[in-house]
Amino acid sequence: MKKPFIQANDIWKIYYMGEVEVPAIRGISLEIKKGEFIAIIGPSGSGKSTLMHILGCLDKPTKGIFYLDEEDILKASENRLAAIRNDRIGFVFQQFNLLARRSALENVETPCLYAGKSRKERIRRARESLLKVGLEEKRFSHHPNQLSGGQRQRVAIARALINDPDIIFADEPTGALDTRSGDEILEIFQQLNKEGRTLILVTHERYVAQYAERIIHIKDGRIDSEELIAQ
Amino acid sequence: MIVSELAKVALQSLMINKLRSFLSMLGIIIGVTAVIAIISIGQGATQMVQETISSLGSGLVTISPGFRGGWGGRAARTASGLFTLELGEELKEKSPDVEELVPSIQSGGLLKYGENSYQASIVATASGYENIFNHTIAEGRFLVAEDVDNYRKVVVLGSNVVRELFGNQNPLGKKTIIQMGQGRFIFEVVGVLESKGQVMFFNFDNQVYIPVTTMMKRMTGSKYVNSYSAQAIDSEEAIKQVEFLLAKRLEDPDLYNVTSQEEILETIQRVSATMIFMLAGIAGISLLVGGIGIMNIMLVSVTERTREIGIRKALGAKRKDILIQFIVEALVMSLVGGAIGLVLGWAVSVLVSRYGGWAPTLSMFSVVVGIGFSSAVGLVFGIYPAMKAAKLNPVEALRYE
Repeated sequence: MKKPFIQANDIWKIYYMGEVEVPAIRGISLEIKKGEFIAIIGPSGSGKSTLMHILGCLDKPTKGIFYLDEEDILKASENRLAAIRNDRIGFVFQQFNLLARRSALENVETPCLYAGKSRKERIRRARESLLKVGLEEKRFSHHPNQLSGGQRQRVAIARALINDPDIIFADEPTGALDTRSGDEILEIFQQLNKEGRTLILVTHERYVAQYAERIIHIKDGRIDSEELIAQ
Repeated sequence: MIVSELAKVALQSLMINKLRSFLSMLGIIIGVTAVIAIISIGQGATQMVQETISSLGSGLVTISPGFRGGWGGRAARTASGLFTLELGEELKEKSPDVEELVPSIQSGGLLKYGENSYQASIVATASGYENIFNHTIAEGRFLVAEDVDNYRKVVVLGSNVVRELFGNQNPLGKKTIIQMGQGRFIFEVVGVLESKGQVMFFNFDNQVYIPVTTMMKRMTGSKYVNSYSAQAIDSEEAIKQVEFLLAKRLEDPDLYNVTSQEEILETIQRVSATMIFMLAGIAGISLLVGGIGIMNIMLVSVTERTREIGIRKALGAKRKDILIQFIVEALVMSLVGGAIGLVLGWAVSVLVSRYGGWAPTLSMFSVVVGIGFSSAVGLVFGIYPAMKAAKLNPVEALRYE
């Protein structure tokens, strides 16, 4: 039988502070189908960011089972994880995490650079990607500090999209934005989901989570409850 | 990831912190400048010395007293009281590889002509000297056998001496007074030599030549000469033969020294090569210091850019990509420093060569050393910070404030 797109069984993430074990994730199991729009919600310190890092292949769980599209992530090498992040995953962060000294276009290009694409191809894709998220062309050469918060987040989304990933992880993507630009960003995510991309949104705001199809509540490193949102 | 892209990224990051990058490169700049300048100056100076020694003519063998127990003093005096004119004749006759051999006594004296006077080096020697040392007669003649046999008071002048004493007058046949110690002697000028310039530590153009017998019999009363100069057919053979003859006469081999021009050349080459390497080695230490400077700034840079590294890793950069990025940055810094040092070192060696009077040489060797060392320094001292950057955990790096 074919495994679900994302399958996590009894995942633990334990940090060691000297001798003391500090579990951040205590046995989370979940399944996510391809094309789903999931919100992971929980108070700060609940482990939701750690869970996103694990599901996004930035970090490996201490123990448990985690398959991404039938690939055993616990057995994957560091280089393999980098390749997966590059090829199949896009990240959008609360603080945008743009490279400060690079223009919007260069920022968007970066994942393409690591994928070994030619300069011409990189620029073509970066432009396409930026236009898709609605950044005006005259801003392509601007550096992040010349852009507003909403524009920066658009650049970040364009960057996440450039290698045409299957999954997009967004960690509090509206946290640093005013309500209006936050809504615009969320609408872009909804649009991306409609195009068939799997979206995993991490937030502590109920209002933001409501854009998703399914909300997973995290508390103290465990799944507290799940709810389905009727669109 | 393409290295040229990384080089561009590295240059951009260096341009953002121009002053900091320059200060970090300074060690490399100074080190490469010093290494290039020292090698170039050393090679130029050695080449000049070699050329001037070669201009003395090949096959020159010098037989001089050995210095026992240090320079000067009683031991040195003892050693000089060995060489007689007869010994010279014997060496010449019995050594098949000695083509020509002349005795010489070096001394100094004041030459006067009318109102003019000139402090010259006096070389008392014999006919044949001019051939051994490749002198060309400009006017008149050199000393001949009759001058020596008859203790004639004739003198051959170097070009400087002529200019100082006679100006534009023709010196041939003029009487000049040579004042040596308490004595005053009248000599007739019979010849003028062509200019030869400075050779090593003395200037041939400041010399005057008188018959060795005139010096010994009429002026000093000495029975000994200072040294012999010989023209050899085969220098090595000639040295062997002369040494064999001298060993029979003088039991202690420390009393005399037989050296050929080739040997002197070799010695100079060896000594100067050692000096150059030693000095370049000392200069190389500043390259090491420069490397440490680069490592230091790269470590600071890695810490400052932890978040950037985290972002890059999240976007799919492999360890290798981050490693190369930071190594390229260190390399660019050290190579730019090396290139600046190369230009500065070349400028310094051109300046110095003007004062020294030799042609400036920028050998491939020093270019290779300059560029090679600076890139090696960049690599060696860039690897550790780059590895530190590459090993960062992406999640921790992203959280870094």
